[in-house]
Amino acid sequence: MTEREFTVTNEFGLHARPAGQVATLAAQFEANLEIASQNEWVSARSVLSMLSLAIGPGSLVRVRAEGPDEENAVDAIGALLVGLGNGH
Amino acid sequence: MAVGVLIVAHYQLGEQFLQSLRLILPDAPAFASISIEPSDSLDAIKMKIQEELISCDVGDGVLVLTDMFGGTPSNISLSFHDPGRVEIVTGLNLPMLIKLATLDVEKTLEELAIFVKDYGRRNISVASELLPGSEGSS
Repeated sequence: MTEREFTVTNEFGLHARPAGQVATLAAQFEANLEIASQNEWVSARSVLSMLSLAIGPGSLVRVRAEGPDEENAVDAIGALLVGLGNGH
Repeated sequence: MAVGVLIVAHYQLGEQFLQSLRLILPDAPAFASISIEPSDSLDAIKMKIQEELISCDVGDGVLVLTDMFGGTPSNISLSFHDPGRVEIVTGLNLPMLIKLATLDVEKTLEELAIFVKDYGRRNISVASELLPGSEGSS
């Protein structure tokens, strides 16, 4: 299991489009990927589940993965969360 | 998923839904949509739906999503109901489409229709029931 914390910098937080980007990226890894805000964990492959976390701008989120490519998976999702452009 | 998906809705609503879906999920499957215009005759609407049903059926039937029960798109779509081949779910919303686009579990047409209906309902929220400090929150 690999787990790390990241800050969502997008000015609108993790809204629909970036959640879609996360879900699309998560589906490319073999590892099971989850994302959490305030200790509520959901699948990083589910757009709607991630939206239900209501992750706002500047929020700290945790990403964890379990599987053969878990390190790369967490790094990739983290990089995406940190590097999300602005806009909605 | 071997079940085809077809949206039948007033004006360009279906295509707008699909544009929104592709904004969120650029690689979403190519769902089809039919726009029902006030100037369309009954026969023309039936023809459009019939043609799209044939084109959307890739083996396991077609799930038709309409905008509102009782509206013309729904009423005419319901006339194509064919258990196991054509199922209709009314009251489309974007969460339904996102779920359909990302579903990785095989379901029969009937199972898919019920699942999507329940999923769409579950993803309707009232702010006062969700937000801290609101009257409706527990």
